Amino acid sequence: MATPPTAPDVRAVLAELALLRGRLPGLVGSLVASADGLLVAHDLPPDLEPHGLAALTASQLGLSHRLAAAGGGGAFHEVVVRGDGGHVVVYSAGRTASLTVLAGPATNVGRLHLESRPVARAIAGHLAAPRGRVHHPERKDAP
Amino acid sequence: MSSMDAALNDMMGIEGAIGAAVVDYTSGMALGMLGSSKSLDLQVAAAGNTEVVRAKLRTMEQLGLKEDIEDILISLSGQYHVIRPLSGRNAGGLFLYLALDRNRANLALARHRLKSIESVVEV
Repeated sequence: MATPPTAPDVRAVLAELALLRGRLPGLVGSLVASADGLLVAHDLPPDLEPHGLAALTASQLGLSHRLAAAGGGGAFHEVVVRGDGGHVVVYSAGRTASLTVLAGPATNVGRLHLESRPVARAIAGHLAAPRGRVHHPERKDAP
Repeated sequence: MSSMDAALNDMMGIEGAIGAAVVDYTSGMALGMLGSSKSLDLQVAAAGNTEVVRAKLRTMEQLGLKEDIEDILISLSGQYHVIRPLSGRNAGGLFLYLALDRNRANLALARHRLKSIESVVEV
């Protein structure tokens, strides 16, 4: 289901995504990607292609980091994209990864944030634990 | 002062008020809040009570009731929570949320005051 890194991390991340699904009835799916756009784990319906979405997420993440910094907003936390068909929310999960959550158009965004933010923090913790595994190009978030 | 701030101040001026919020129930986010604390996190209250309002509206639709909700009262052992969906032209999709200390509040008066505050809110 998921591409490397090491299996125990991925299992822990998948457990977090499963937890999120249990807590958010309107959830369509979720995915975790590294900052360089590689898929870490996903819980997406079969009609969505996880690798492409992971790559897109990384572009959004880089842009959002820069936009937050350039706009004087400091560190980036999350970005909400609302479309006719639903919401795509990208949360920063530490400095090396992101959590993307897809939800339906009628979703309760307030609740979505309340449930997803702790999950993003937990995922950041899981991925930060082993040292020297996630390698990524220089971050562009300095002003 | 915006009408939103005025409404929140008026709500907190109601005897026994411990927290007040104006909430958008299409998104579950609070547009404004006053009195949020560790013991009463109004962001959590906004998101949670959005589910309450949506559930009631859905139920009424399924029952074929073509009426409007005036208010929803939740009585806890130590608090009252009052939800009042706004019906104004510019305030559709919003509700007022007021938490009251049961020992200090006068429920009838609080409902009456909320009704008059409703007309103040413009977004």
